[in-house]
Amino acid sequence: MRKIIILLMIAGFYTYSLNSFAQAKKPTLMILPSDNWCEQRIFMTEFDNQGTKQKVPNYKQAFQEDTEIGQVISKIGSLMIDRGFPLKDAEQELKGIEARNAEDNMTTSTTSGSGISESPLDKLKNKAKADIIIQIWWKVSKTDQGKVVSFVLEAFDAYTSKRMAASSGNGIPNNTDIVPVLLQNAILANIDAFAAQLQSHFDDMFTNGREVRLTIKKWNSWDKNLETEIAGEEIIDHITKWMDENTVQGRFNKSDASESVIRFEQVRIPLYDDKNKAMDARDFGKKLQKYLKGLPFNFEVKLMTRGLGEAILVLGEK
Amino acid sequence: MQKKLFYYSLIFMTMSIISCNAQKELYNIECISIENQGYVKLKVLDYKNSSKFNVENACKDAIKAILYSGYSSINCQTQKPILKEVADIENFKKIEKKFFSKNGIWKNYIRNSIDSNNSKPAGKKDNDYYIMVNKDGLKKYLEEQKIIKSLNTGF
Repeated sequence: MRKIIILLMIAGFYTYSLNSFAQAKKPTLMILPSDNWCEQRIFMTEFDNQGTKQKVPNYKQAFQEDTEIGQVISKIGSLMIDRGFPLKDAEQELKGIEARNAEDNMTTSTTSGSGISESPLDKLKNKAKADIIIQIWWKVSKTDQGKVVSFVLEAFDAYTSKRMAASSGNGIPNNTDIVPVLLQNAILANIDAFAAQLQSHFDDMFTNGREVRLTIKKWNSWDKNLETEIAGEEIIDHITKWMDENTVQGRFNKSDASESVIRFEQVRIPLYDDKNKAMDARDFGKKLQKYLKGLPFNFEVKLMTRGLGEAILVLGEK
Repeated sequence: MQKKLFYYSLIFMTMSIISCNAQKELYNIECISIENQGYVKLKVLDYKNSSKFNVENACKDAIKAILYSGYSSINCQTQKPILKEVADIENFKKIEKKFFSKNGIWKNYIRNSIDSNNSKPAGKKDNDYYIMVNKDGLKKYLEEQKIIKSLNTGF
């Protein structure tokens, strides 16, 4: 009897420790100036996208030439560190990518002289990225009463494109302080409201699951499509049923469903898997991949991801 | 008749207790500025103009405003209270008495001695104090005590 009690106590402690130490994957944060800010200060690069001229922010130029951006990012960064969220530094990240590219280009195998393999997709993805992008915008206007700083701070989920937090305001007209001081005051006045909204977003995530996107596509070469019937039901219906069973309270949005693509948005996945391990979009996609590889489907499935929040499955081959 | 009298006195007593409790939490705050290193400068005004109102009361009122009601002004914009949820308030109530005791921890989050506005010459009528509260420090303390959640809870 005593042995049983001890065994029960050990089992209880083990379960408790598993639950209490399980932690969700921490999203990465990065601060970037908003597109509008870059446009106003002419930090844009124009390129020809198949005949259409497009402008994109030139962050490298902004970091190198603007005198205010460094101070603003540094201030927000230090305030976020205080709140337990160290930020990825965009400037350092860009430098790191350049250095890595240069090193990869110079690296060759000593035996065959072969270079490092990189697919076109890898090249495209090789840019500064984070799970949450904090965008900042500010403008100093001169009024009769003095300089006024207008300030906008917004956080976007990089994969669902949802605005998670936003805070904005105008300072009082001031003729005595220099612009960096006015900017610092604007940040200090806005940061708490901003952090509170981030907190609400995280609370919602812990209650209702992490929100991700899932896209199912097919290779051109595949002899089936997503409307092909298997065991009396279309593949789309099989996948939808699986989603019903594996999302938190069956919460997801099927925004697009055709013979060649299914797009699921606002998919709420559990934060932890059956083994109490933190789960992200890739792990969730992996589960669906396993389901589609098994009977009665036996499909070859390629799994791709974009950060923690988006998984893409392509049916037909790897 | 006796029964009625008993009920009336019971209602009167309940009302008095409620009003006493409500009176306890009355404070008049004006935010002067949000400073560096997580400090907030508040002007605490004595709403009753009582002679008993001193710098210690002012400090406690300043902390209570930051905890319970929040504050707003043109300089500080709108700042919400640290204890936002009912559960947060209930958690804090458990330690409130000890926190605000004579040698309580509240003193660690206050800086007022350097403000010359706080030295009140005898006979001076105004009872307004300028108090600097270490809001970030206070918040961190409450997070450590598991009274409120920190932003990275669960990660």
